[in-house]
Amino acid sequence: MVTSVISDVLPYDLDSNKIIEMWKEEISDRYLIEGLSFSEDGTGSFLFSFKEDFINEVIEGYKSKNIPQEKMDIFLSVIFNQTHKVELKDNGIFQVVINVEDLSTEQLEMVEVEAKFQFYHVAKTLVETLRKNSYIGIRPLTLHHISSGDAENLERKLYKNYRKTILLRLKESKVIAMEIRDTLSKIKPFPLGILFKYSLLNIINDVYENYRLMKEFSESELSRIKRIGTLETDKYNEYIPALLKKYDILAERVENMRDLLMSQFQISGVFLGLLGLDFALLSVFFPLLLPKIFLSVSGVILLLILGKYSVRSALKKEVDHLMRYLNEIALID
Amino acid sequence: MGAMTRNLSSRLIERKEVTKLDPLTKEYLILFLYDLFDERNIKPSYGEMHRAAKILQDLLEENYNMTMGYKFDTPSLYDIWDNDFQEDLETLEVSIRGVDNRDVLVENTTGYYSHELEPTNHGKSLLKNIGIKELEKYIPNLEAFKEKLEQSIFQ
Repeated sequence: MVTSVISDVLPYDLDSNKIIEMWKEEISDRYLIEGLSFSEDGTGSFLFSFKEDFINEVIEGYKSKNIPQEKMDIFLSVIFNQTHKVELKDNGIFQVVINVEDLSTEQLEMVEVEAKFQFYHVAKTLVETLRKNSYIGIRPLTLHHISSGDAENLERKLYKNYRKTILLRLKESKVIAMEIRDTLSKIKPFPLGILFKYSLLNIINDVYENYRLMKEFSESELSRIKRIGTLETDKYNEYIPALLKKYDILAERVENMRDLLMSQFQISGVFLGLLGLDFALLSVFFPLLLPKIFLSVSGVILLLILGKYSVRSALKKEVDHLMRYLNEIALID
Repeated sequence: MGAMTRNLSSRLIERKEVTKLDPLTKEYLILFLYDLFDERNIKPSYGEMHRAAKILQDLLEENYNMTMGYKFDTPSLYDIWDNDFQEDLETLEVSIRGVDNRDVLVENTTGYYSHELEPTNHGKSLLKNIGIKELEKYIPNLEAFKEKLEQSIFQ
């Protein structure tokens, strides 16, 4: 038996009977839905099969991908030429159970990978029906989390992937923070040299975008995992909200860094412009003593003022704060 | 005796230490692969990404004694496939939106899809501003390595 589990297929408060009836109509050229059985709470099941014309298209599709006949035969007999029981649950899970007999472990694994993709596309047509009929908003459902196994497996996989992703981004933030600190120390003289390090701003923008996306991802994962909720949920009920709070602080720190850097770019840019003007005038009036003295002195004054305006130490302080928060996050478990 | 010695030495060579790359470097390598396709305006499918990643891993192992740790032996539709690599590809799409995944109908079908994958601006920016520098720590002559990789993938 192979089970494909796809999360987020249905929204909350669904009227499954009505939705499935609409879906059934829309996909009637490809799929056959029979034996609908739904209860009041919106949970239920039906029998699902692929229509013959669609199967012929699939064969053509496989041929265009140069898939060997023996593999095609397995997919056709196990996935496409069978009727499968599909369960729709109130937590948005779309679960397909595929009965497989007399397959080797290797063949079974092959069917798992293929079934995952095929039923992902089937489930996506249901999401499209929901969208067309305004059951779900503009923000598209991702439908990426598909898994073989049962809902509990999916939940474990989601949580494992979530932790893995967070650790990756944490490591990346540390690498970047060290890179920024290192770059800041090397720029000499800072107020002028920074103008040639515009890439620093791009890096800071990347970090900010990462925190924004991680926050969005954390919120959606928390809601998804909670909704599936077959396991002990305490660990991520504590872990993810604690991380969310830290992201806000991290994003704030990075925003401060961006503001500081922007102000340095602006001030340094203005002073560089003035210095250029001063130098141009100096070359014009070089033969005249008084303007020459005035322009030389004003040039020195401009350089001195610019030399005073440096955000380097403030930026370094922000990087240190960032590193501290990153270390704190690493301790959350 | 001679044959025994030869066997032993070949086994010792096989056991040569191979460093397993950390997940972040692996992620940058995946973005690096996407970039190769993107430079040629190609939007690879999952199957093509698995094949390209296998070539990349083989080159890394041969030239730098490093591996991404994928086995590429998961039985699937394609000859080269690794479920762990597939998970890493999907994580890159969902979590940091580093890659866009578009379903494309296979010609002359009404519901049989292929996938077109393309790095997003954020994915490209991460590679350019951070990833490349990190990769250069492991692959000092990244440009030469890139050329070699391109030749192997697009030959």
